[in-house]
Amino acid sequence: MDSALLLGFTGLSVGALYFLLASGLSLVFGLMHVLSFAHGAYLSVCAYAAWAILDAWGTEGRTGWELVIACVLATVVGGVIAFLTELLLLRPLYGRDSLDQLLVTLGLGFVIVATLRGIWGPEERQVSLPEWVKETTALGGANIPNDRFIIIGAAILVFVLLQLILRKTRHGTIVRAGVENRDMVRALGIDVRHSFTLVFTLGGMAAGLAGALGAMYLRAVQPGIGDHFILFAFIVLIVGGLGSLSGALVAAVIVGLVQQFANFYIGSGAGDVITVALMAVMLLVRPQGLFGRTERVA
Amino acid sequence: MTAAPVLELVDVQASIGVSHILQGVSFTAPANAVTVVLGRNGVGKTTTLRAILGLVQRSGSIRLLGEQIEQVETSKIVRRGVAYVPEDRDVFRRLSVQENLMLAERKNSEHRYELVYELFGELKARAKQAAGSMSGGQQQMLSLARGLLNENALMLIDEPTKGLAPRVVGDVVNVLEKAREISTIVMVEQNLAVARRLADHVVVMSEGRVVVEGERDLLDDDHRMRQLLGLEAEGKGH
Repeated sequence: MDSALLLGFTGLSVGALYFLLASGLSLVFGLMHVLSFAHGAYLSVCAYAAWAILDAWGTEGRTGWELVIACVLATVVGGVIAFLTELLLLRPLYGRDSLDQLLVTLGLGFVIVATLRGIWGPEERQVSLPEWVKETTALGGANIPNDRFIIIGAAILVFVLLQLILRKTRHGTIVRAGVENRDMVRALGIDVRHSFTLVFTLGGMAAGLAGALGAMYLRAVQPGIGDHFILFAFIVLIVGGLGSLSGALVAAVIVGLVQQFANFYIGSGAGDVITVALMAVMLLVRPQGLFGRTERVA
Repeated sequence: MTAAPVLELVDVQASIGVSHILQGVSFTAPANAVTVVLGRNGVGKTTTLRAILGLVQRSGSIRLLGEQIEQVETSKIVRRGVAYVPEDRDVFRRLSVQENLMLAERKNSEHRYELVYELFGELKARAKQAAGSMSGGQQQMLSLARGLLNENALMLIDEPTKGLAPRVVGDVVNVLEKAREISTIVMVEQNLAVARRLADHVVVMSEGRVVVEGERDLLDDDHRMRQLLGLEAEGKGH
């Protein structure tokens, strides 16, 4: 029971990281019809940003605020990089084949990871964390590492914030409408490109937060840290339904839990195989994903 | 009809994918009048409206209120005072009625909620309801309401009575009678009875071109209209 509980929390926290990355990808695809491969690289950059702050802080006088600052800064860095990407690289390509946009994000991802490798080398860098983050909390007979609660809480917070933005603001309403029918939004006199910028930036911020939390979860950073997460974020997107935020949340929980339980009970690596198989089955049986087009961004 | 035309199209071409849909469309829409665009299915009527708005790639000359707009982006054309009521209503199904109307508010216009709720009282009662859960007729009302919410120089209305029950068609026509008092209208309509009731100016299209353009009395020549619309040979009519 205690190991199942620990696995459950670990699965949820891994799923939460997938969700953070997938939430942005989902909105970006839903509105812009762009499948961004750059978000994994944003995660890597922001993981390094968080590592740099925590490393610079040193081990003396730790209160935990440095972790909050690292997360906030990583979120901002992710947003800025995504904003610049949309403005400088994607905007000139609107109106062209979406494959061009996909290739630009793919290429940018390679460049970013190569740059990180060039600056800090390919080896892992250990992340210095406050002690209380590494400690555990007893719950139902299991000792749950405290970082799991932080990651799950952050994902819930992001989900709620995104829902509030989507439902309570005019920009959010435009995004929801644009996911349904982008041409009709333009035909109402709304310049939908502003929403593209907003959505891409929000996606970058969520990837940035995932980078900081991913570094905390793994206790280390390396240039390709985003590659693993982007792969499973895409699986989450496909299982949940492209363009559906709720679908991304549900699918992230499923993928995270399946992965952890399968790795533990069947064998190391089995979780990855099963989640990829889950995606394949979903594509064959229900290509629109669990929530499909009619449930987009809700 | 001596006032300058609100809209002028000269040799407008448009393609969708590999299909060359519009092959040189030219006509004018006089101010303060209803121009009805008629033609068989697939001749390019809807594409003409979408080309005016820039929703399809197009070339040729399109002048709105005397200014060229063929290079202008859709949202900017609309903000010059154009409302679009599309063929399939295209209400945002998952958004509420209120949200649909809110999105239609243009910054540079008065928002005529009083007029909208006077014409469509039901929409006020259904403000919180998801637009997609309403009937086809109610969705058409919402689509028209979005168009009427702002002050417009031009309304582009695509088959407003398509697929509606006869009673609802009557309601829609009554609303269009009101709309013609406050805006120039270019309307695609297949229903000859509706066209006869509303039209001041008539444009008939065939195979991506305008084959006849003239005043409303064109519609009184029933035999010719049925020929032009291909109703004679098929033995059907409206």
